[in-house]
Amino acid sequence: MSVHTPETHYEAIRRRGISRRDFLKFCTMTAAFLGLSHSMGAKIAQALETKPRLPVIWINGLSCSCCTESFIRSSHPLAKDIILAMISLDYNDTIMAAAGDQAMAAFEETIKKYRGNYILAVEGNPPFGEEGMFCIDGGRPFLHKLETGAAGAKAVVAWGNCASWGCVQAARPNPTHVRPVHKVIHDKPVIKIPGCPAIPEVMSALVAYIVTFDSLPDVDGEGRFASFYGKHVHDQCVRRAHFDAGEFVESWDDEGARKGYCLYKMGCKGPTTFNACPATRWNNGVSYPIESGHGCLGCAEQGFWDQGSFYSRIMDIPAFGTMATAQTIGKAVGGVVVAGVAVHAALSAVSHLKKTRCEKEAAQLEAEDIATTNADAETSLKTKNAALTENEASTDAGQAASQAHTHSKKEGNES
Amino acid sequence: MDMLHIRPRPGQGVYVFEFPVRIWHWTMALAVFALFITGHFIGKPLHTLSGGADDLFYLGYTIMAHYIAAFILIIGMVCRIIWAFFGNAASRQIFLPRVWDKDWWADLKSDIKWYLFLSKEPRIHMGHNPLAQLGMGVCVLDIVLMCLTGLGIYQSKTGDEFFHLFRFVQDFAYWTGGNVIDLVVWHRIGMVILVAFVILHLYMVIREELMGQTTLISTMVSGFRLVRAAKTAKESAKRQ
Ligand code: HEM
Ligand code: HEM
Ligand code: SF4
Ligand code: SF4
Repeated sequence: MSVHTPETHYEAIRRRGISRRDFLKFCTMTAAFLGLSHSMGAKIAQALETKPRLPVIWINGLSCSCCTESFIRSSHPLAKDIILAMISLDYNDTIMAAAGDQAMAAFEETIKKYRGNYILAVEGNPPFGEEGMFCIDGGRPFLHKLETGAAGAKAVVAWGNCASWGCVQAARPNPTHVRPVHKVIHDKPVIKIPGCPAIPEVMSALVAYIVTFDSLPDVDGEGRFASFYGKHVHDQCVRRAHFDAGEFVESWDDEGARKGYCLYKMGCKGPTTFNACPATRWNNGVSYPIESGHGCLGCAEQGFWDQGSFYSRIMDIPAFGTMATAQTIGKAVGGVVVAGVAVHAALSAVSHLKKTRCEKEAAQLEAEDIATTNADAETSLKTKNAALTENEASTDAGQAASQAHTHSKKEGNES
Repeated sequence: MDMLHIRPRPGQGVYVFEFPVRIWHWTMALAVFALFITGHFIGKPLHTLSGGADDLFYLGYTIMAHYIAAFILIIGMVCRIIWAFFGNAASRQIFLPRVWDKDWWADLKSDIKWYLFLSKEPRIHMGHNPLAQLGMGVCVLDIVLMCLTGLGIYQSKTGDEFFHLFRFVQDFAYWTGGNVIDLVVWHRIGMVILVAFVILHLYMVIREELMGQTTLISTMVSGFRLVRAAKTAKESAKRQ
């Protein structure tokens, strides 16, 4: 590394023997991934040629290192070399030659040298159980390294699902009490690049973006690098036409599987997973899991280990004690409601029939009752009338009679 | 005195459900049935019988139908809520059961007795009875939650800026520690609750129609509530 003028990304790339042609291809591709116009490729190229290299410090907490693996195992030499050169790791405890005290010294030195300018890429996450003793790095809990690293960083990249969401070690019941990076580092911008593993091209695009525009890229509501996490896998999927047509793989190795039909019924999580793998593809663009015949696991999503089988669309709902699914709940509720309605309807019918019979009988009885009283009243009226005709002079009695008459008329109208 | 407390004589009608309430009820019922069917087949699609991906769009159309019914439901629900501010007293009942009112609780008790066969006398309500108010309140709340989870899933699939208004639903799912797949699970559980409501609702409506003292289904059609010829012993006897 030159002491006088800081090295550029272009120099680092050329130092690895990559041609200028491949470098320009990379710039154009990155512009496309970022959703920028074609001419922006030239701008990116210019920035990478002239501006100082962006140092990246890469640290590993509790993780399986699959993200590092995916990084260095891109089969095609071009992708590997360019991306490694782009990231030009100043510190990476997994792949650098130094170890032990030497490595610790290298870490201290790098964060001092590039203070305020470097990107801290965090793979894995810090456990909080047993005071952080589940992940010791250089004799101290990893949390310490994470905090020291983040203190001098320009930005922190939560690299992979572990750092972004917690991943498998955070799966219920999270025995080591891990927390994802954004729940630990609050005073620095944290950009999430989830995935298990995350896609290497996203990291190189991030570095290219920061170098070109001297600013951090947009993140979405969940803090993810917006350019790569704006769409579900399902909405970019090569098998999508089969989904819309209703052509599905019904079991592994059936006719549909051989024809490359949609994996929806085999538990594909593409419809709810934000990631760019259908666009970037894996292994330097060879394919991605769905293209190769396996459903999406939802590896870029929060809590994807806790959401039931990878081979079923029906998700477990742990809130119900035993692992229930919306389907079992549905069947139970439906059964209870239908049975309840049937029993209630039967009881209602019985009580209704009983009541109508009682009513009829009672009505008959009362009707007879009333008929007799009516008859009584009529006879008394008749005798009264007879008495009245005898005594026409009594006006009082005449009024009473007419009143009785209108009253009975009204009742007649009503029924 | 508002119309909820009118006690009409048998045969006399009271205008209870105004036109917007009725048109809302029936479009909503149709939309909900369409959403049940299309939703079920989105969750568990049938395999297409013949043809190919170049000319078939069967699940695509199912989803399209789901969205059309969904937007009818959403627009209807919004209009119905607005109408509650302008309509008659009956139009507010499903949103605001009068839980602060002692009479309401007494009414609820008599309702429960009626459904437990403890009281034999049908009650007369011009609007909804308190139990129905609670049931319909839950139904309406559930429909609102279906609209919200549905819109949350929808906005995660569309690039349309307008629907990013409902990004908060997705953010909520992440806040609870999950992702969009949880919205789908909640959407399914919401459907279970709604199916349960519809079964109960149809049963109650038909039961009241047969055993109760007022009209119901024709009320939701014409808006007028009629008290039927009374069936109690004394009253039927009186009119002989
Ligand atoms: C998807 C199906 C349905 C849903 C979600 C539903 C929901 C509702 C709601 C929320 C109300 C209260 C209306 C208001 O006060 O604004 C109501 C009332 C009513 N519904 Fe439905 N309904 C459905 C289907 C039906 C069907 C198929 C019928 C006819 C058989 C029916 C008959 C009635 C009647 C008669 C009322 C008035 C009840 C009363 O007078 O207290 N509903 N329904
Ligand atoms: C009564 C109301 C509704 C019912 C019963 C219902 C039911 C369902 C069901 C069962 C599914 C399948 C879930 C699965 O994948 O397993 C579904 C999917 C969906 N629903 Fe609804 N839904 C209703 C209302 C709505 C509303 C108001 C919207 C708003 C736009 C909506 C939007 C969606 C979307 C976006 C999907 C996912 C479709 C896809 O996979 O492409 N739903 N619905
Ligand atoms: S394979 Fe998965 S992501 Fe692809 S169309 Fe089918 S359900 Fe969607
Ligand atoms: S297809 Fe799904 S599970 Fe597979 S890498 Fe892409 S996001 Fe992860």
